[in-house]
Amino acid sequence: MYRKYANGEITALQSYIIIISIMIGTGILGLSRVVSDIAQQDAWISVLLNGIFISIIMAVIIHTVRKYPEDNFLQYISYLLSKPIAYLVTIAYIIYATLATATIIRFLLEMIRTWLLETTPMAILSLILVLTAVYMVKNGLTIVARFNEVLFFYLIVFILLILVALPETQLINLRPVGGSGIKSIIKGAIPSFYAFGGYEVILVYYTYISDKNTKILKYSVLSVLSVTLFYTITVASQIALFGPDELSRVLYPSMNYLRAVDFPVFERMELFFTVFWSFTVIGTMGLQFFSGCLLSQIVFKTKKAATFAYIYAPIIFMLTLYPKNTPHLVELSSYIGYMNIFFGLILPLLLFIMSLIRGGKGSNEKSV
Amino acid sequence: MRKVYKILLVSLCMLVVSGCWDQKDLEKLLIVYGVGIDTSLNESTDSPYLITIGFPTIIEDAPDKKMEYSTPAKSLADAYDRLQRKAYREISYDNTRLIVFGEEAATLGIIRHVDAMLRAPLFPGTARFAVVEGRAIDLLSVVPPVSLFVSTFLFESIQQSNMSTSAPFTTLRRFHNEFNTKGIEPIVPYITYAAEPGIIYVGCTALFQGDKLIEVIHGNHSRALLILRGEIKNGYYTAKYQVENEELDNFISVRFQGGKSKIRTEVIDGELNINHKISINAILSEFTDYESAFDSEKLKVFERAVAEAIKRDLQSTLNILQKTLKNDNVGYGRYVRIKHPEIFDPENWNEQFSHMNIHLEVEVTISEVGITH
Repeated sequence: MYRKYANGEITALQSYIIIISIMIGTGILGLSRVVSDIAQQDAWISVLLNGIFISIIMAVIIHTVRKYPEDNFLQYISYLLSKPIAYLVTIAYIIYATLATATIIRFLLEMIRTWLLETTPMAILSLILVLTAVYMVKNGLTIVARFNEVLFFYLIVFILLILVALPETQLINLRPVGGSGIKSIIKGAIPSFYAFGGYEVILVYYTYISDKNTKILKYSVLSVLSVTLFYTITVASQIALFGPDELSRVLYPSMNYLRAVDFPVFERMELFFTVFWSFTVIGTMGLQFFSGCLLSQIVFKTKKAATFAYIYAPIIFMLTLYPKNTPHLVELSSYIGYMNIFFGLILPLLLFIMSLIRGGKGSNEKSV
Repeated sequence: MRKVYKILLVSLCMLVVSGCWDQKDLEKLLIVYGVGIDTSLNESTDSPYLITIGFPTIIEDAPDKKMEYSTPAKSLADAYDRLQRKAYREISYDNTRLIVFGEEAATLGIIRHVDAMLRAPLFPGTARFAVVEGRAIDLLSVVPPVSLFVSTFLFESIQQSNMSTSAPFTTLRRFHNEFNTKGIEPIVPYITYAAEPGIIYVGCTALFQGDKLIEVIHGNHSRALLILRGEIKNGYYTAKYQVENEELDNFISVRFQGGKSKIRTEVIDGELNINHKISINAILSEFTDYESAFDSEKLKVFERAVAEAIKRDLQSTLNILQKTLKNDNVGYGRYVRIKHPEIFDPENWNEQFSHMNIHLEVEVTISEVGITH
């Protein structure tokens, strides 16, 4: 098969799936709690606003990177922000991707240990997941994208799971709409940033889209809006079930939501969720991990990105074992959220402004 | 080469199977169906509670099909540990269907026991809560006439009582929700014993303030509370119907077919007013006079008679809640909180509730008269 890029390439359709797949990950577990702590019953509005805002950011990202279709992350940042800054930003992104991968794996481990394999040592589970990540990314981007393409159908099950506890919900818990005040609603959007995080990988992967076309902007924005709609409905239904008072005491609202009713056939609906959710998170993990490996290959100018998968694997393995307990993990993940604000918000806006100033000529260097 | 791949594939599958090495057969577990929580009869402050578990023995040769273990304990988790020492198999609480609180334990407060249930990932959120007259240990050792396990019997009968608008349906999750939600106090079904031995009656409601039992209401008051909360499902309601020159009283009975509860709040001259409109759909199921009921004017008279009787019950129940107990088990506070957040005081809501004016309006619609004239 002809391949334009040594590390594989993806179709435009796969890029939309990547956006959706990477956004739906570990953040969904506690999303409604962290947002409703601030925005109370209006948490769903905060999530909706944040999603709309992120879709605008996505439009900005695509609008910027499509001016440099042949340039990779390092090349177009070099052109827009100068070479030293580009190296700095790329290395920072590699660190971010590695930390994010470790955080995602650790969240997955927490869930597996809590609900499925409570006596299996954390290190064994972590090793299995890290090896899975290495195996997934060692053959390049095409394989990672295909894996996520297959998993995309699992998301349909996710959407159906929202219906499970609907008969138990009470609309009074969502009232008064807007009652928490505009300030709280806007403030509530900030902690939901982590749940939406990951879409910024398109900054790295855009150049590897084989059939770039004019519709990419439209469909990328639609991908973000689909996730936004899914998150908004999820959060609204969880608030309608728990109410803001109880929600602040529920650690994993998405799991507890499924424990609210006796369901025929599947007695343990939350285990059903855990299985599907685990696969979705593995997809997210692969995408985040590979972005770090790919950028490392670009920075260090090696032949294969997979080399870095082997180098980073032990680091990620150790990082997954670093958090002492769940509260410590949640605390550490908030730092990833801050890093995400830089790569998902500040950097795209900065690049957009610079692209307006410097135009769309690009460095025209040979793609790595 | 293909053979190598096949061997590798089979080996990989075998690795997955290795996950079963520590699997547990259901027969190896002691599966708890019901948990009873009482205060300890001993004076010891070290173990103030007596925790009882009821479980099926499963083993065919066992002398009894079910058993109960009890232990004094500091708390529920402490009891898990002590009970395990008595048990011959690993105790699993993942299928617990019923949690029964003895009256005295419920009066002391039950949230301290709820934490251990909520913290365990596999403890069912749908486990049903009940308070029993007397002690939970006595209830768990009862053999109901139509079921092997009292926990299974109560699991079903609580739901059935709720379907007939007689007693509330409270699960672990619902109790926790109402306990945490400002502007509503929790309610739990209350179990009593009938005069006949072995007959258990589920038709009363235990009223809680926070996590403490403060009062029990029976019969029509229990039903009225459910109607006030908008939980109108099925069940029969009989009202007196006055017919001139008759020696015996006559009655109209209707069967509920669901209904609606609409609560509106307003502040008039600085006073909080609640307009509570209740609409009940019903089927005429009985009219003890021999007259024909197949007349729309007569049905209107029936509807008014039933509505007035229900309103009297509702008013009487509200009086208990507002004046005697000063405890908002209906949840009016949730509406006041939404409409008048400046007035709603979460810390003193029950006091505010006791002073507000509640205007009840009951509407009964009889949509069917059955198949006799």
